[in-house]
Amino acid sequence: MELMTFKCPNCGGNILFDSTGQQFRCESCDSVFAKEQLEEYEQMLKKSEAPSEYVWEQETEREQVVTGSVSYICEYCGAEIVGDETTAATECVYCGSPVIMNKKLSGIDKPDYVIPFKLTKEDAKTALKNFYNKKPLLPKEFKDENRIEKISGVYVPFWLFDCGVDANIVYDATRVRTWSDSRYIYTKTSHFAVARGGSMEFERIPADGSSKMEDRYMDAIEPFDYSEMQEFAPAYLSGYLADKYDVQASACEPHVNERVNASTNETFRSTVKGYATVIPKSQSVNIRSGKAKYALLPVWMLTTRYKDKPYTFAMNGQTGKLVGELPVDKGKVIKWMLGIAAAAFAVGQIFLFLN
Amino acid sequence: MKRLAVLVLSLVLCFSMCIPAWGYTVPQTDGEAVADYASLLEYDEAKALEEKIDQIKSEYSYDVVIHTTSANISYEESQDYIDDFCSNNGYGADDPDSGIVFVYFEAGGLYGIKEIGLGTRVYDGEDLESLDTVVGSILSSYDYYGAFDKYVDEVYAYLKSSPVAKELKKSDEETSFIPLEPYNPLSPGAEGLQPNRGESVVDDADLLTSFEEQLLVSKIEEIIEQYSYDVVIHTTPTAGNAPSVEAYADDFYDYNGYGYGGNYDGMAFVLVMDSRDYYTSTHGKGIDVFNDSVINYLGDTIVNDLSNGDYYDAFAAYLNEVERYLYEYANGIVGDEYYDYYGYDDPSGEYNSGSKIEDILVKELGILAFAVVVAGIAVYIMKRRMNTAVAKREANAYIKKDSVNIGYQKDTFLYDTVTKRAKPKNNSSGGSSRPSGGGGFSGGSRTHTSSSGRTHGGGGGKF
Repeated sequence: MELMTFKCPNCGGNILFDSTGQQFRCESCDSVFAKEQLEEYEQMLKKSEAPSEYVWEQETEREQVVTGSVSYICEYCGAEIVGDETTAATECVYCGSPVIMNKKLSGIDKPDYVIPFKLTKEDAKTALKNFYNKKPLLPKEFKDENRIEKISGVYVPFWLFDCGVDANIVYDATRVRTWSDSRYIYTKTSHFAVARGGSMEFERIPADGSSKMEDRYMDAIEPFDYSEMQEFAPAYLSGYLADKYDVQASACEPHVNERVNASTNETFRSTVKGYATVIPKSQSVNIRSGKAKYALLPVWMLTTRYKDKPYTFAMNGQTGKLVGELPVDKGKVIKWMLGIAAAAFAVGQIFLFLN
Repeated sequence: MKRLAVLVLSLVLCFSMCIPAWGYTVPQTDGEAVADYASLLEYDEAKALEEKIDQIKSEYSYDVVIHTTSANISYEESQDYIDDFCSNNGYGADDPDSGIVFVYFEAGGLYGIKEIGLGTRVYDGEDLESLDTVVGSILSSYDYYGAFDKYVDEVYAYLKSSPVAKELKKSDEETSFIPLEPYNPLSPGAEGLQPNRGESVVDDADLLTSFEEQLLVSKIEEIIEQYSYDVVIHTTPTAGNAPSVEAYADDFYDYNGYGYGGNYDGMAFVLVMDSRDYYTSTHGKGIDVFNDSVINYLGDTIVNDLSNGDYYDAFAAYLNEVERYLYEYANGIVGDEYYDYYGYDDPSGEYNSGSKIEDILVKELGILAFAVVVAGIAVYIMKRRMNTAVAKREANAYIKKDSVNIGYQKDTFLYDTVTKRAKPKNNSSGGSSRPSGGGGFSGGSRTHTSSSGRTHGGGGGKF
């Protein structure tokens, strides 16, 4: 026979049975509850307070496949890039430092999938020029035509994660009602325990497998259209560079877990409606049957060094979504601030004069 | 010559003696309640009537006199006869006892009723008329005793129900408020002010010069005309034996004919010097427009001036505020909109703009700040567009379609908590938040019933 002690939903104190009132009362805060309420509350909490577990499949060994005849290893940042005769590169695509290609047969681990390039170098150049346009704070050397010409098409390695999620989340929710009479304003706050439990599935969450490519860039050019994804064949790579992955899938898992957790919370939270305030109290999010596949995804990239810092421009080679970081010319900032301030000041004076 | 003079003189003498005898002689009674000169009643009938009348006299200090005469009086002369009868027997306005005189002219079947002393306070025209009809119908059947008996009963019943008579009944001491004019507690729906209304400013404590009084009176007249609302300002050295300042103010208002319209809309502001009390008594519409928080506010506005002896200033400020609340009530304006809208003179000086130069400087600084902010925002936006690489924190795009299944959904009620906080009240004079009047959120007026039976609101304080 299990000894059940209830905890008070209001203050966490002990609940005692009040025999005079035939009800359950908290010994610390004096709140009164019915037995059913307390039982349900216990159940909800138990489910949601279990620790979260993330279970991913172990990775299997991959075979190597020969894809290129030239390669370079960047001395500055360590990136290993593989290409073919047609893809000579003089700069490292990731850090912009000069490199020399080695002629030698080289390969990469065999990917499961690849999304072939859809947009051409011309498309990429146009996009880049547009990006530079209307950036009044940009130093002018960026817009130099020579720089733009150096943009390269790179297959960036990605891990694509599938998983199922089971979650139990409990929220503290309130409804508020106010009214008043001639002397006071009354506020009644009704407290609820809201439990949500269920499952959902995710597929092909991408996490980039190259340590040289900052995650935030790759996140920003998402999503890719997986309907155009193909089984891998080395032929897709000709004419483009490819990056050997150096980040194991397991190393990507924390970032993926974070995203899964966030999406699960958002999805569950969206089913809690009709309350004035909703605060998550406890959650148990379990990832199961997680597995990762390795894919090459197409990206147009150009990295420019400015004042000894690399600034990268990347465009999704399939969808055209682009992202970039550009340096800010301090001189221009000051000029613009003064200019706008002066104009606003003038406008204000006219306004004042008219009134 | 001498003989002519004597003749003329004697004629004149004759005439002067005869004139009163023309048409009628007005008898002088011995103060008896039933003066039955026409012998219409038996001895015991008269006695019974006198007993009833004595009862009334002892209970209410109210005289009832019944006089019959067989003198041949025409209708035109009957009024004079009654007047003469009253003055001959000392039943007049000087007689401190109140009462009523009934005279019956047997010859023409005429009768008349006259109030004496303060008796006009008890009966109003209509009631006298109703007495007439009651008695008249019985007299026409020649049942004199029945008629007079009924008459006395009616008077007695009326005294019992009349609130003013209650006043006569209960106090042997002099009542402290001698009414200035007779009043009509029961006349329904009279438009405008009452004909017997007292003065707008009654300065018994002599705090104001006549010029100041005149200014206040004009202001009150404006208010009456604009808003159909009566205001009276009354100062008195003492409230005498009144049970409370509230009662004194209520009664002052009720018994002096103040109030506009059928509901006697208006208010009285009373200052009692010996107890240093001030009090506002509201009636009718006044209760709605000047709710409790506004009454408090009015008091706070003037209490300093009262304490300093600046009575005119206090009353003027009081009237200003009253007018302003009436204006807002009439136009559905709430709060401080009134200042701007009406171009109103603000007594607390809050909106005084100060020197011109300071003004401009402040505005220039404001524009400068505005310019800097605008520039900052513009540049910030420019900068943001320079870096669009932001990590994704969620994976919403990768949720497998239709895979979401939240099977367990349970919302459980736990408990309620109720808190309350007092509504903000205005508690400092000048400059703090002004309550809104009339039906506004700041709520209601406590009312009470005064001695007249009417409902009053209001409030006051000490200065």
